[in-house]
Amino acid sequence: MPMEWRRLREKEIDHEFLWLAVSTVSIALGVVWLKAGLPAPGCVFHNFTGFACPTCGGTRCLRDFVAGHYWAAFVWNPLVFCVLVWTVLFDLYAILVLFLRLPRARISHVSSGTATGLRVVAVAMIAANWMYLIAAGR
Amino acid sequence: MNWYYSENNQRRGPVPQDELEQMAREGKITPDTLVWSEGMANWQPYREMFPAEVMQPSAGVPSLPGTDLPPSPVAGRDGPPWEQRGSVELGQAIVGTVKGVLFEPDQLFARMKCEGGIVNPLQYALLVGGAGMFVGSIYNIIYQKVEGYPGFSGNHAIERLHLTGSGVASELMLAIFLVPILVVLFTFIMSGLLHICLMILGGAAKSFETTFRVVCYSFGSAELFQVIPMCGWFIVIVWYAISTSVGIAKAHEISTGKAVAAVLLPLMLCCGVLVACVSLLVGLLAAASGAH
Repeated sequence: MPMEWRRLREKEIDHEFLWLAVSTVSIALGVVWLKAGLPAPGCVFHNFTGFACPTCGGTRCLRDFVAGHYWAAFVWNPLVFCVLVWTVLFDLYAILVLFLRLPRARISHVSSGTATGLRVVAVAMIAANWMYLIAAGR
Repeated sequence: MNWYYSENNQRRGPVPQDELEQMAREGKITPDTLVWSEGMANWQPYREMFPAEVMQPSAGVPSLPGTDLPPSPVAGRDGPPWEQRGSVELGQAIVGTVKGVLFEPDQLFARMKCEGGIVNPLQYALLVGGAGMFVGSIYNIIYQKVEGYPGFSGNHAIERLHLTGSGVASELMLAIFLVPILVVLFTFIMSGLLHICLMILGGAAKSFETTFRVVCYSFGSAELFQVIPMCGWFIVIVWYAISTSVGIAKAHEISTGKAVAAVLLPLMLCCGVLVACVSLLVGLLAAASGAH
């Protein structure tokens, strides 16, 4: 995928600032929730069918991730673990470009073939993760 | 480089780039016209591909003497009443937007600006949706006083957060503090998830901003159903899903089926199954009552 590094255009959304703020506040609220020992939200799908939903184990994954138990976090829900790792990496990148006022990374064009490939990969990852969760009896 | 463009939902072209730019200068192509060229995954608005061109004033067109009129909005997309607060009173703007989103979503979202900043729709979500969410939290506080209430007890939260002492006042303060934060987080996270689902389904014809604007207006209006005790939250979910689906279809100019799939996907990934279950239950009850 061709990437370009450029300055923000006039009135363009500052995605780095936006998602850094959203992810930081979300994780902070999640950590406060867990540290306070409040009950984790239940899964309606699991209660109704007895099978894991694609995000089952997400709260336990976050709990172990915050505690630094990365393998345990991965085992709870690999996809949520990958999202958390991606979030941390993105936040580091966002802090860097915001504080140093660097140009931003943007995808310039995605060919239709690449876009289709990415869609297939995304669906396959969600499906594989879900099958793993069901097989692991989450 | 040759370009295709859309006109009355028909594909036109190919035309060379200089001809496309000439058509834009003549007004035959607006900033919202979708264009496509070899190598692009999706059709994109003209302004996305040629931002510098869009910013330039039309060559050869003199300004109207004695006036300082702003550029006219894109044809047909003048924004919901909330974005016309300069000419409409605040109350009318809120009521008009709520009524439009809840009861005529196809018309309202067909005239919603696809871009124009995220502040206006976020203000709407905070003011109107925040009010609904706050009323919902007051009900929740009341329910928790009822012995045997099976839901999550906020009292436990208060006790564990060491906020005991002033009872209901502490819970109200917590709600006042949390509601705006939750509204902002919800609108951004749901918009992000929805836009990713649109991209997976090949329906993200316009930018994230368009998706965000639809989510803000849908969420803000639907959240008002929280004023209905007990079942308000369920109506919120259903109405939110309906108005967002219509809004996404109109704003991104994609098929309703694709929009519905994109809206339901993030809901189904977690707790949206509840909607299906309750719908099934309601349907079965209705069928049972009809049989007698």
